[in-house]
Amino acid sequence: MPSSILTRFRQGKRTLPFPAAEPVLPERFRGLPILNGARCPSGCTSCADACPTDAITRDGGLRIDLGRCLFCAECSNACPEGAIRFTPEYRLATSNRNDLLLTEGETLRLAGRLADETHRILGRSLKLRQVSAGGCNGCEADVNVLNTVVFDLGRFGIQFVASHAMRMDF
Amino acid sequence: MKPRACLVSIEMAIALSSFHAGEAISLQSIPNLSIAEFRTAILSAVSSTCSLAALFGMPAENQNVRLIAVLPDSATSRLSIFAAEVAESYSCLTLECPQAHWFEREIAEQWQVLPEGHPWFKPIRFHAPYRPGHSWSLAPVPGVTDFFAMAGEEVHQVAVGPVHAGIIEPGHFRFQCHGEDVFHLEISLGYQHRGVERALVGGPGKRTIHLMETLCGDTSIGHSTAYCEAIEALGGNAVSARAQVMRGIALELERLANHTGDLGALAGDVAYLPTAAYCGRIRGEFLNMTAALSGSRFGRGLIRPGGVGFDLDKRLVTELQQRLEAALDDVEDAVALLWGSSSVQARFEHTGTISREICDALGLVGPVARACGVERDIRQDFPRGIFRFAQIPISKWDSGDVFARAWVRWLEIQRSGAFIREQLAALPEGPILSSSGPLLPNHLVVSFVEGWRGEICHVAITDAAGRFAHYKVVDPSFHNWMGLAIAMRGQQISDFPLCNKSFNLSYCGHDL
Repeated sequence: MPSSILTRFRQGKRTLPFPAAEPVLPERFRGLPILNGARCPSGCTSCADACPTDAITRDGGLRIDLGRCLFCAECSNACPEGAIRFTPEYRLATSNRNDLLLTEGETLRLAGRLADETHRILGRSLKLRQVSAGGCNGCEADVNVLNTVVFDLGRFGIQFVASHAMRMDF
Repeated sequence: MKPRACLVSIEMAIALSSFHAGEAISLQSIPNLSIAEFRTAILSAVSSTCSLAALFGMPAENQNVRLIAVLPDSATSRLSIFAAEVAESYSCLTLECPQAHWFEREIAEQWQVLPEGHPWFKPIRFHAPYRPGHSWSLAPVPGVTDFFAMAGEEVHQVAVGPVHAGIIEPGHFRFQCHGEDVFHLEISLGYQHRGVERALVGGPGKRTIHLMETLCGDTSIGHSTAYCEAIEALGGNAVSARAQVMRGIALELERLANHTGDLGALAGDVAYLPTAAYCGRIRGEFLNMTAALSGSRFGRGLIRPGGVGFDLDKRLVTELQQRLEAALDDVEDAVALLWGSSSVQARFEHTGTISREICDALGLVGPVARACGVERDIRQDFPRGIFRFAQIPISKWDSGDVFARAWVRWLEIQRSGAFIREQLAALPEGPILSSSGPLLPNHLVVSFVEGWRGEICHVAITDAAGRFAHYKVVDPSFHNWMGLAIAMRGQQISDFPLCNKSFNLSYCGHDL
């Protein structure tokens, strides 16, 4: 018991100060891309050709579908002109699928605050249910991290919950 | 692959089929045996010091199926590879070699080749067959199948999943219980099946490396390293010492993160919350070190054919050294609480015990096998890259229970930490990436990596044009799920979460 108390002091308080302070992200983190189609040489499709998920289209302006994007940066590496650049911007959540289509010159339509009526009903108690099917377990791994002391999602009134009576925590 | 001129004996076939992992092998040099010889060769190999790393089918001429077996011998650091052609059926291996159990079910499901006499003949992923003109489907709807069942008035079944209460992958667990006692557990998977192996045929292409990085999301480094070593063997390109060291560092960071997370999760499952909370945080420190290297916590973008995608400079090396020492101090502090707490030890010891005999019979791998006293580790037995020069001692314990699986992880954390410390201090200079040539046509390569869950085996086979004719992935979970089922025999059902965490197997890595 004394050792567990000592350890408690040594481990310290580790919850991030977010949102009061911005998170410190690794320099190599690849977040929101910025598109500059004005730099594209005519007829060049290097970025679209390099994209492993066909997230980029060139007809009618440079456009990237963030719903397909892996943030692998194959496109920006393939571009001789720097027309696509990944930034450290981590705010990427939108309210609907189409808002993930990012066209040059546009800013990403981020999810806004809840409608007043929804907010009145839910208050600060948002319960989410996550079901995985046909993925790589990467999302699950990082969603679980939100419940560690570092992120402590519960302090925002957000919780991931079980959908049914079986509460055996696997 | 043409049949070889007649072989004098099985012994000769075995002698002729001795290869190295990571060596490009001409398809012609692989002994093409009759199915009877093939069976004998496998049974003879596993009765000595070989294990069955892979047994799979691929299309052959005349709509036949070619079976290929890969048998590494940890005593000699060499591997035997055999092939045999079958049409519709053959006499199963599983009765004599339980290691073949899951593989034979997979072969039957994919290629509709019947392993006659198989003791528990069922699909493992529930998908439509791959062989054209063959439609005796086993059961295409996931989970709709017969389960092993006990009978009796006081016997009952408990069905759990496929959708679970936590934020985890889907899988179905069927327990045969008498009161709290579990007599048998059957695990039914396939819900995460994406068809990855099929998508790899015809490659490599621009998607291939990304598919490798997401075969199993928590093992991106392990699987992408196995893939790159296969490509480099077939493409004949050399990887610089600097890149090899960086791959080694990334692989051990992946192990540190996952082992630390597992020890925290084990603590959580016995309601010892301090270690659960600390390790949950410290796991992230190791992931963030990988992110400092590659921009991704899982190391995506780091391992590339010919080397690595990102370099290290002096400043980043110093930063990683400081962060490593801090995280290692913290994890030692947090984990020490487990060993000093009698209530934790009482729950870990003698729970979910697997005997050495069962472990060997099932061909379990990784920390699970080393927790049964098995001295096997790819980094020692089939070292590639930096592991040929910097050896990490094998960590083992022999009690086979939850405690042993936790303890082996802790030993490995210390040794991986020491390895990274040593490598960061002596990073060789040089380029990080070399370009890859075209792949050798009609060749096969086996690559082995000791991922944090254990033995990762990739087998790449090229066609006449140097494209993938077949690509086989064996995640360590493929070997170990049966071990979890057996570990639950004779346990209380309430011990399942603890036993399960002590294995922490992958669903997607199994389902592919």
